[in-house]
Amino acid sequence: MSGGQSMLFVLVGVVAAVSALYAVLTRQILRSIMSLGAFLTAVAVEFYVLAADFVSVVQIFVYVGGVVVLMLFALMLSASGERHPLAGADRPGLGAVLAYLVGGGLVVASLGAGLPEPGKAPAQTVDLLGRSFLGGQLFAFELMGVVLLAAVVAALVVARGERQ
Amino acid sequence: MSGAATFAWGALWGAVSLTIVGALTTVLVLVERKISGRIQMRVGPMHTGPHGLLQTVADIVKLLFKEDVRPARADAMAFRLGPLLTAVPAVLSFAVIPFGAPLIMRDLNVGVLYFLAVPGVTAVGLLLAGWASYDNYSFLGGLRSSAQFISYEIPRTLAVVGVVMLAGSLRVSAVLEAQRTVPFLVLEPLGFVLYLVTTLAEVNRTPFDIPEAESELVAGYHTEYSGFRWALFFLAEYGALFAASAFATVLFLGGGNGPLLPAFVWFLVKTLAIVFLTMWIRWTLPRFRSDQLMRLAWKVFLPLSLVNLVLAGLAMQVVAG
Amino acid sequence: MNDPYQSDVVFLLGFALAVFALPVFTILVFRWLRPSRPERLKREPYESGMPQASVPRRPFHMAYYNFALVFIVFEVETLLLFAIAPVLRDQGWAALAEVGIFVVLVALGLFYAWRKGALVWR
Repeated sequence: MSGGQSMLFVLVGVVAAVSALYAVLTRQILRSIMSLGAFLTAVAVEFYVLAADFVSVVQIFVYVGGVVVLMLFALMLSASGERHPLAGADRPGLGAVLAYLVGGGLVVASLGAGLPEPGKAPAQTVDLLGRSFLGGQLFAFELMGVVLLAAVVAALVVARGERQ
Repeated sequence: MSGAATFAWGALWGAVSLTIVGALTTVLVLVERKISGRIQMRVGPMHTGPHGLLQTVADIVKLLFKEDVRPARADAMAFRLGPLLTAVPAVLSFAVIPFGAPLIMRDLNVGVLYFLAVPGVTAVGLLLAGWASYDNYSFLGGLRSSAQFISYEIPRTLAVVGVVMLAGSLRVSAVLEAQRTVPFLVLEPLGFVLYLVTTLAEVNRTPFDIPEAESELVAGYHTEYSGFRWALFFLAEYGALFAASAFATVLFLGGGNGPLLPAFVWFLVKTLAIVFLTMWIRWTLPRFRSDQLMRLAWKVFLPLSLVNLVLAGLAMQVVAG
Repeated sequence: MNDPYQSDVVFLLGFALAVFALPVFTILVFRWLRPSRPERLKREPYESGMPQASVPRRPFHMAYYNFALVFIVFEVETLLLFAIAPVLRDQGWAALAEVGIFVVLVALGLFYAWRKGALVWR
């Protein structure tokens, strides 16, 4: 990473961290969702800084334009109002412990992973991605198709359960 | 360029894009009112300036100085954020529009996908605006428009996959380069039709303007808005309409490619022709019902766009082989 | 700044800042120039001239949520196709068939949702 790049990375990272914190700390659910949207956008920017432009745009597409909309639908259709669901959580302590365990595990794993030195970013990343999907990762690609098919079925089961 | 210079350069082009969108909205609203007048055997606005040419300019001045009324129980933050999140994505998409061959602000590696992804954030703005207003019409309008928006986004995005296959790149300049001899309209007529029709739905225009169906929902998600915030919704609508038409030109009509005239002129002629087509459709066709609209998206356009994908694959093999 | 990705990001951040800040700036400036006389009736939500019959904060059709759920799945499938599409041209029929299998899986999902009546708007 060059000096400018790491500075940019840290700057955007601070924005991401602050909005993530606000998303869990605020008691107003709409603000929590919007803050989550800001966080997801900041993460998309981080991806781009790290030369993962395709992933960055996908992040905007699926998370900001999809998942945030889904959450807003959930809020608006359930009329749960401004109250944050965590405000009445049954076991907030258990949730916190789980979150710390998973988060801590990720930090330990990434510190011990012995990450390679970053090389020079390729001029085109989508080509590499596409070629690996058609080449060595073909099985993974088709498997994703099957998983997503299962996701459609699962989504409909959830929806039907709601109706009965 | 240094980092600060690139940042300033980006901010400059952002300001330029916003100015372009403002000017376009001013012109296109007037043009639309004139066209609708012709189609309905009226004359349209006639009194402000010669032939009513200054009507929208006067409207803008009025809107800027108008009181900003907010319902007492509205959520102030969401009420302010809604119009911004609707308008900003539409303007952001201008960053990758090639106004003629060299006139592109930023030729991103994933330009085509950027153009499809960024305006998607509009759905968030519509929902926020409708919900924040604390008004039943706005609430319904916001829900309907975003549901329609996301439903039509899939066939629209799928229609573009075929173009990317033929062009072999997500770069806007490469898509134009690949059409130097034959525009993709010839190879992918179905894709063009799909893109165009789903685009009408994306920018909420008749026959897909259920979200703001005047006769049932008053003004939909922007019922409670006034003044400049209200104007932002119109910036979003006409900005998105122009951007989407410009991209139809890029993806299927070969952008600025054409004989004799400079690329910039060709580009504008093609884009404005598509804009005119959407206006013509708007003032000719009646509006779909809400359930027809959703059925059309999922049961007609989505299967058709999968068929189009197969056709595009075959076309690609014919061109390559 | 030789890295094109970084330069793209900085450009787009500047672009977004201008596009976001200018409308906000306009609103703030004209706040001093436009009238502001809020009164109770003016700040009532519009409901065709009558007092609001019901509040918009109430439970509403789940159909919207279900469509959004199915939307996300198909969106991810579409984007996976975008990753493959640029390199498909010089890969021949075999690669096309491989993508064909994926498209068939997408179509199966659509067919399933269709048969289960999930695509009917209620």
